Amino acid sequence: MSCAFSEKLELYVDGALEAAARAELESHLAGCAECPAEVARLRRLDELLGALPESEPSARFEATFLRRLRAEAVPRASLRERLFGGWRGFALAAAAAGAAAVVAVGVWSGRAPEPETERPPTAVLQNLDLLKNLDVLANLEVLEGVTAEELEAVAEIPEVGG
Amino acid sequence: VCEVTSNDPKLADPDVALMLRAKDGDLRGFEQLFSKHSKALVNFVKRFVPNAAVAEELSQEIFLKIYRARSAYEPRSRFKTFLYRIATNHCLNELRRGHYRERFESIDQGLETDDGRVRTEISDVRPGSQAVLEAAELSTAVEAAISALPETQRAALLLLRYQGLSYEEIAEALELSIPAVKSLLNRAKTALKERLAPYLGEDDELRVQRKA
Repeated sequence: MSCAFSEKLELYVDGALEAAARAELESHLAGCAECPAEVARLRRLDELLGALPESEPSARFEATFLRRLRAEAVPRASLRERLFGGWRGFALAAAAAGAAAVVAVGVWSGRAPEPETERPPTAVLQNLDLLKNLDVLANLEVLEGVTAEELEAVAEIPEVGG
Repeated sequence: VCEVTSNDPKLADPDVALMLRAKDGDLRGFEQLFSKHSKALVNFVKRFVPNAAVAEELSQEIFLKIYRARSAYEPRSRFKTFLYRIATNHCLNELRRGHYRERFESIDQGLETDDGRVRTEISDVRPGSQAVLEAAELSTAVEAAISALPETQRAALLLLRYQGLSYEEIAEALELSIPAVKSLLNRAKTALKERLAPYLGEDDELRVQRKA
């Protein structure tokens, strides 16, 4: 379209023009050879889009969500309590402390740790690695229910993350 | 100090009040938000992912994500704008994982015939009713035309036409400028007018109006 008003036609049909601009466009429409046909086309497109049926969610959709929501809403133990509260958490903490002691003794005695070929990595050292990484921690059984997504939720949501 | 005035439109939004109640621990408030918005949300999400079960799962995740972050919620817009900002991000992230792209393209290519019309492939339409067949064909054509839009154009169009967001709210939801939103909507509508041209002719006007 060559008419100078053509760029405003969509805004007009979408109700996005301010009053003064709308009045100006409407008086233009009365005398323009091109714009009224385009407005009619845009309105027909709008009607086509509006005629699409909205589908219903499945019968279980709402009940499933409410169950998940209520499970979320139950107050949960803090991360610290989950890590160190239960006997498994205690075992993990003890293992970590043990590993720290081994490393400390190694450093104090000035002796390099024995090569892996002679002494395979212990579960203690593996646990130390896990403790360094929250993403991996989220997969541990002691953190069941706390997903990596959940840990990141605050950062992901603009309203919250800032 | 930011003084909140009583004529602030976002605070007049009853959904914002429900969300603030949810923030204060009122689960009922959040359940009401879900009841009110979930059906429209599922319909929105369905236009990004290829099947209803996936759309329902993603819709639940979107609401759970908002619930998990409720303690830090601060109203900066209507709740609906906030909801669809999270929803659009979630859908586009899912699409970027690449599981769905190929299937959408194949659906689109499979439906269109040489004359630009779209074949009706709805098997559960009962034969014998021309009006039903025409309505089904039209719906299929419109759905295919929407699916064929690039994702951001599609999001902008859906937010405008089905979620009732203003240009300003779409800009906020998509984290774009208003001119960028105008451009997206212009391109989306230009593409739709081309793809749906057979249904936009003068002869079809009455038929379309009758169906609307």
